[in-house]
Amino acid sequence: MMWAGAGIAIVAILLLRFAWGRPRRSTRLNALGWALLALGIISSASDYGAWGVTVAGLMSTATALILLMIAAIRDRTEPKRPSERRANILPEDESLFLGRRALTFTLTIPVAATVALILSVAARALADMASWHPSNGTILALMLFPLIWAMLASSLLMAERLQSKGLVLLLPACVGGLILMVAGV
Amino acid sequence: MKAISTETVKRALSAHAAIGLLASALLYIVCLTGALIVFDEEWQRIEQRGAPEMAAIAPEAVQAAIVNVLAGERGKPATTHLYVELPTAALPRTTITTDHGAVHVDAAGTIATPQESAWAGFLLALHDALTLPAALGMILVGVLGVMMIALSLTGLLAHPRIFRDAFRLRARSASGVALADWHNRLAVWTLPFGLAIALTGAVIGLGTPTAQGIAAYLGTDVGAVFEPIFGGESKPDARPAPVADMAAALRTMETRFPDTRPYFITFHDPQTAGQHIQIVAAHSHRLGYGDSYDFDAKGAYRGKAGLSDGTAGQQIASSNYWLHFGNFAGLPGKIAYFVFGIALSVVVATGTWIWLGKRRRRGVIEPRLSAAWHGVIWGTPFALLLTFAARMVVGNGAPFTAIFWIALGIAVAGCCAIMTSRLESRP
Repeated sequence: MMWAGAGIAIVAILLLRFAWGRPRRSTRLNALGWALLALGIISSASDYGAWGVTVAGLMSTATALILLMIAAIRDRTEPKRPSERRANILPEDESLFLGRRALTFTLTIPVAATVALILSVAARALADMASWHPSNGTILALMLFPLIWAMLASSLLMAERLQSKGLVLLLPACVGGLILMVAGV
Repeated sequence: MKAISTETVKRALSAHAAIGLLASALLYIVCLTGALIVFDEEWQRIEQRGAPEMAAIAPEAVQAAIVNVLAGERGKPATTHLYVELPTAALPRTTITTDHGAVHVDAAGTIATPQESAWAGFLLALHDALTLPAALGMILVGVLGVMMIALSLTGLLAHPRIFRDAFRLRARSASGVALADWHNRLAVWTLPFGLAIALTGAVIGLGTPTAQGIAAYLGTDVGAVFEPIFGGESKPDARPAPVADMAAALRTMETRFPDTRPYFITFHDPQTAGQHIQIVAAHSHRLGYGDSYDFDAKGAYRGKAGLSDGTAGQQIASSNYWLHFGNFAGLPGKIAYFVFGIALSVVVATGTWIWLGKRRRRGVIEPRLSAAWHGVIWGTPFALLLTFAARMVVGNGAPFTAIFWIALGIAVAGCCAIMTSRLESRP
């Protein structure tokens, strides 16, 4: 079943390549490609769990990269000098905005890390309240910390106004703090 | 209705560029060394070709080897731990490490030669801590893992057509199209791999600060936080005692757990009344690194940690390591990790070139910055090659860290100097 699952995942990638290469997109073919990929992964998981999923994932990724290399080799575009065209010219005396950038860095790295840590520890506290085994609560917190930090960093860098950035940090910090207070910290 | 607004795409692209600029040089070094260190065992074999190799070693020979090593260290402070690396398909050697050094032993348990794998060790230190002290360096590399996750998130938001164009590669187009195509196509297809590597790496690197946070909440220490996952250490008892019966423990593994493959032994507090043995054994077709089997000084089995069949948290923790290292599917798995790791390095390299190209098209020409980036991209493999050459010519004691950073610095400065002289010679 394991190798059958990996085989199905490879066929799914080939089908997606075919479907996406047609002049007009076919919803049915696309859906069939994704469904086959899901089937391949589920089939691999049914026999060998996480190991099966990972091996099927590696094999389908390798297939996609081989197809990509074929596309690169077959590309007939003539190499030529880059265009000298200029667009959306920036002002010559472009300010470095050092203060704003330092603030963004501070919010994105140390402050966001602190908020992410508060939320992760709060998740561990919630797991305790739900009577989870300590190992499950700890691994949840270990996984959540980088994930939450990455999401906060992305949101902060996408928010334009300082108030929005403040909200991105304050809301989760308050939620986390509240949970920890309820947990008796 | 559009799924993602143009404004969101713009902001995501700006965030993607900001994170990339902040992290790209170090991320490139970590990705490139990560791809190379997948072959850790193979590098060790290349470094020290003369070390004795064996497909397996008898339990009695392991016992004899431990006794020989401990006898050789008489007169030195007693080692607190002794580690035995057992032969595997990737590294068919038996190596014993104590607080005082590491030696290879032959199939009879006789000490053969000191272990000399300093270059592989340097490569690992560069990947997991950028050669900084481990406590600081691992956190920094963990932060780079976080930045990689954020780059994946913002990259997806910034490119709503990224899946639709997943096989479109204009490999040689001009005006930055080829660079963007290589960057986006390799990024989208290595996305599951990249996310898995980034998350598992960040969990490893940021494990200690997270555990410190949990310890503060629980009012305990970091060791106690990890105890429910990996098991705890027994209470030490420093009274002298004869060397524990390692052979009996290994024989028990053979008879009681025949489907497992022991590959690493931790011998706690050797030659004391509190000594005990932990044997880590791999389970075939599992993502986790196996389980930790505990034995007393007489070699009697006391139980296992439960990393292979315990709680979900224990199994996930165990899988986190091998999923990151890529050593769960033999040589084909390692080759896949190497290729995908190189692809990630290309994604990082092209990302900054795309940003520089965009700036150029907007009238901001930064030749020195561009030259410095060339210096990082070509200087890193050059500096690594130089350290490897030093290993082959000078030997195990070559100052790899100094050679690497000085060579990389020279490469960056050299590229900038060449660019400056070109600019000055222009009419």
